[in-house]
Amino acid sequence: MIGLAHYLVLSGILFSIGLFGVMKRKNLLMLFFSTEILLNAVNIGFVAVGRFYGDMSGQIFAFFIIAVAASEVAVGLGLIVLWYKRTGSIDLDSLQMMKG
Amino acid sequence: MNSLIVFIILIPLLSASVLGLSYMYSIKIQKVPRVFFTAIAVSAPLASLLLGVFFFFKMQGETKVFYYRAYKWLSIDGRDIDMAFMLDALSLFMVLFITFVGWLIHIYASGYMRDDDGYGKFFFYFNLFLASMLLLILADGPLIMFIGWEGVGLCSYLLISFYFEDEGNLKAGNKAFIANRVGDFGFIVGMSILFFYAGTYGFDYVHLAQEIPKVPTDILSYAGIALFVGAMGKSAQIPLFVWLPDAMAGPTPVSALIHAATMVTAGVYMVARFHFLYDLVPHVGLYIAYVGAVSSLFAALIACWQKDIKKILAYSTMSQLGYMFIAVGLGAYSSGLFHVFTHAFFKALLFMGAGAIIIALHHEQDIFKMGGMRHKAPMLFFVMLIATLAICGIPPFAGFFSKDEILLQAFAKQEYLLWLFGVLTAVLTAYYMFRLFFIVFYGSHVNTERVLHPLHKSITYPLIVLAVGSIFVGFLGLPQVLGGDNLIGQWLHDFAQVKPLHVGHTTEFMLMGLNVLAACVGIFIAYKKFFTCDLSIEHTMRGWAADKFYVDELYEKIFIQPYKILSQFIGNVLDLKIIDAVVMNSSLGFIKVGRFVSRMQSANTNFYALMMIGGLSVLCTYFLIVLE
Amino acid sequence: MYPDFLYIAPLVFVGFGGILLMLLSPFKQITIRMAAFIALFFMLCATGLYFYNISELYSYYPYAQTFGSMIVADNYSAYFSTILLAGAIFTILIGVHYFEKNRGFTTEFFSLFLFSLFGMMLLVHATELITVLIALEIASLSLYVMIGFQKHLDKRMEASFRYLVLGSISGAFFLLGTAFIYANTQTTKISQIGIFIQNNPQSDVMLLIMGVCFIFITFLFKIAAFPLQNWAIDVYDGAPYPVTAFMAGTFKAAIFGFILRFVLVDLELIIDFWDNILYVVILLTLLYGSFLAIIQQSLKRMLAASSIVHTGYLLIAFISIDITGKSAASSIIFYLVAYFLSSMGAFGLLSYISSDDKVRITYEDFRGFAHIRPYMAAMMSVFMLSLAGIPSTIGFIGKFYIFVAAIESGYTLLAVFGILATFVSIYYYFRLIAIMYFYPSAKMQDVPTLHGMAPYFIGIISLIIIWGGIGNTLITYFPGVDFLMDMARLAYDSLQVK
Repeated sequence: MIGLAHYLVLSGILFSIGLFGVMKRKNLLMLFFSTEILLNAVNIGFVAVGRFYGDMSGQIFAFFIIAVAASEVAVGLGLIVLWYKRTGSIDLDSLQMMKG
Repeated sequence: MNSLIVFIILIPLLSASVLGLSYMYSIKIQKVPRVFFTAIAVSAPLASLLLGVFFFFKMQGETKVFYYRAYKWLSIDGRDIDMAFMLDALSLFMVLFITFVGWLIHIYASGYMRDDDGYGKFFFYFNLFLASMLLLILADGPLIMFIGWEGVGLCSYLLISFYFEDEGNLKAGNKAFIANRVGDFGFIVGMSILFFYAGTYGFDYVHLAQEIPKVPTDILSYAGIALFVGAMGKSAQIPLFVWLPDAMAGPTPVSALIHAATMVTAGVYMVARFHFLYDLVPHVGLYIAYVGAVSSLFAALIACWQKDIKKILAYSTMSQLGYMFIAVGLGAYSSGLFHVFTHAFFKALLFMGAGAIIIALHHEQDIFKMGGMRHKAPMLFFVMLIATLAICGIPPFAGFFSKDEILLQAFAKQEYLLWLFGVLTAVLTAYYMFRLFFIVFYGSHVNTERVLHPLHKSITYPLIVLAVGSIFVGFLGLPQVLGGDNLIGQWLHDFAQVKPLHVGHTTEFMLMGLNVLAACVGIFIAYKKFFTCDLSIEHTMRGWAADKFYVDELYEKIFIQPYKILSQFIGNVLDLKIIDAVVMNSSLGFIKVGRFVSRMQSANTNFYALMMIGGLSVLCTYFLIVLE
Repeated sequence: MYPDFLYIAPLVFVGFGGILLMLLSPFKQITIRMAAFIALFFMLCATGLYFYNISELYSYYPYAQTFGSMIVADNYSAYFSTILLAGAIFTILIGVHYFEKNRGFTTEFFSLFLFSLFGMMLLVHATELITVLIALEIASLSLYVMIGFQKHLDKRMEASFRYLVLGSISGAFFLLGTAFIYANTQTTKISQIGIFIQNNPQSDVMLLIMGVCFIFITFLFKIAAFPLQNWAIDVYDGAPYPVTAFMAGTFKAAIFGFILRFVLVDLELIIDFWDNILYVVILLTLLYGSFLAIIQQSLKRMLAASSIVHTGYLLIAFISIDITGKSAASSIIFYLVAYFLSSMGAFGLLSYISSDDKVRITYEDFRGFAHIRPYMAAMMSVFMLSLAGIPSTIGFIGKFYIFVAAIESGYTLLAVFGILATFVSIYYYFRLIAIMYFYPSAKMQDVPTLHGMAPYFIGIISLIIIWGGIGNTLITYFPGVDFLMDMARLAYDSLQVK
């Protein structure tokens, strides 16, 4: 029987993967994927908790979060496309000018 | 209706602003005619005076005290301090004679200063002074009073060093300012004590008077002494008197208005205003009286050996202020204020007469170089005679009644030592005043053909008015024993309960006679020594008294020299070698650490994310530990 | 239903203005200046509506059925929204010149600007955590685009990207925290969370405390406190000047607007939990910001680094909030106003100067500036004095209230550290004044004549700053600092209205 705990563990694992990604990945696209994973990990948590309480609002929240995530991606992808057009690279190290 | 109180202050203040701005306009852009300045400057005190008279008639009715609260000014610890004003018998009394005498001196100054380039500036300061003085008087609490207190100090400083091209005048201005700061410190301390111990329900006189009986007596004594230190500074009492003689560096109308008739009496007014405090601590009052007595005798002694006509008058002011403090210290507030009142008339007259003589003699201030003025300027001779008789206390001139009342109070309160001081001072006063008078008007001078500078009408008319005043104002306080009603005593009766004196009429008459006798003794000695004084011989003054008992030199040694040494040590050693070195080195150290820290700003997004998550982990760990 | 609408009308105005500008943007006839004035019009209308019932205490849920009580209108939200609107209005007024002079700005920018403002205003009105997230994201997303609006500049792109990535991580933390709270309490409404805490023993709110911890991480990120501060300098440096000013002053105020409501309504009972860790965070924030500001050569980076120090001061007041949080909370609100004015002035002036002659970036470029432009130098000095907290400026009063609040709640040591940080801050603020006044100009360029209204508005700000420092009750019935403080207290009281 798959219960609340399983979902929450899954959510936790996904969140950790996301965290690891933002710390490690050098590819701009992958960096974005990692933040998306973070958001989706939380989504799973919300839906599972909402289901556990029998409360619909948890699932509604998930939709809101998906919308927010989508808009973030829209902005982010736009930036990446621009950057790629200008420099031909989507490596994070190329975006590293303001030190000190 | 009550808001008219504000206008008593506001009119001089506004006219001061107009004068200041038009003076700036006058020197920067286009010359403003002098008559413009004169009209504004002279009408401001007159307007305040008329308002005062208006309130005088209002006060005959039911209301005896008028309040006006303009707005909330400060809120300290939830205690509100309002910009509020109070007009009672005492403050109206002060307002009336200050605006009247002030108005006359304004007229006089318009003649005295007519050839001065800083004419507009002078009246700007003058009106500003008047506004501050009226604020001091009309304030409804110590803090508002303090604004006026500082305002008059500032104007006094500005006017003493009015001829700022001369370095000596600047020094005199600084001296006055610094000596007054010492006094102000005392005032602030006293005010703070009152605020903490008695200001719970409001920091105005009415609430303070209600709260003060609950405060322990020793605290009240400290507050009383601290406030009196403020009064010492303003009213030139020992040991803070040193600035007053030097303050004569300013133009003579300044000496007449500020350093004789009004500002210096602020200390007396303040003690009278805090009568509810001093009534509870009679031992502090006694101390005040003794300071006044000693100051008065001390100043009179110095005055006997001075040559400069204005300095003689300055020391006599200090001496007369001593009398006033004897009275207020003994709780006889109305007697002290009566003397303030008469003194304003005859001392302003003396200064203005002296100013006229100085102008007539082309700015000569040494009395031994004057002489023979009796025939050259008979008008000045008469007004100066009246003023001199008034200050010596010869009946029926103004000074007699007020001085007599003070000495009577001292005698009746069985403070015979104070009384003796007073009588001795009276002898000396008569002596040095008539010394001045005889030398200036009767002395035979070699240089008799000198032509006098003509005097303008605006100088002479106020002299005549004040001379008439010096003869008659004493009758306002005519004591009962002479069949009078003591109108001033009755007027001020409401605010200070003076216990009836238990002195028989015989004693009273005897004391009067004694006073007159004392004055006559002084006049006689002066007559013997100086009536036929030959001024062609060089007169040099030597001895302790002529050198002002070396008080200035003493202060120089005790206070100023060590202070200079200390500041040199701080400036050259402490600041340069220690503090600067620490600061400079620490700033270098800071920059080094800063460079290290800035390595964390690596511009690497991964690293930033790492730091975020690291911070989060630390926080979470902390919470997990705490929650366990 | 008329009054209900009036309560949310300011929000509607701003949002509608954003949409209208977006629709108008394809038209070539609309110039940047016109777009700016349209935006100004809507913002001024919204501001006017907040003065509708300014002195009454009120707390009202408009359209409670439709919105499910997720939005509240009270004095608190009105006060903060007025601050935000004032910040936005000043940004536009001062920035128009910059937007016109620099390449890459179009009319859509103003649409985004209004959306961002809408998000911030929603943030201070919101009483539900998911609404808060959406408001936060509306504000942030618009800001990401506004930062990177000048596509041709690498710096802008880098700043925008960094803020976007790190911002969405912090957003994820916020969501995780909300999920924890939801799991614990089965609600995300701020008022009900407070009731839950009151009704349950402490052992039952563990998960909630963890959730609050995550939300705090987001809060610390957005205001740039210690472990989460790295982005601030880069983003502030990379963004166009007016956007930097907007972020530094206004966005920070909006974030505080939310977190203060959250803490004061909900967490008063469990607030002492994170005092120790917050203590460390404040110390490190002050240290880090001070050290970083000292070594900066570029003025913009110096102001960015010093904004971290100002965050530290704000947190000092934040930690001082206890059960009787009134003075500390209102001192935060007041300091936000003081800081927003000073930083708006400083950034605005820099933006104006740099849009005219593109050479003035570092301290050295300001050598002898006072001899070329005496009035601008004087205004700049006022802003520096206020940021450093020198008496007779509003910055001093703000710091004074904060340190008083800290000492009252027993954080004397923190107040001492705050004052030490102020000493250090005098170094980097006064360095500019010294360089402007005491050094001869390296090269006396021919001085171009000033145009545009920006200098006047900057002048107005500097007058407000001085007025706030000395004006207090100098003139009767004219609002001064006391008025701001009274309003802040009223705003605090409106949170307690049930």
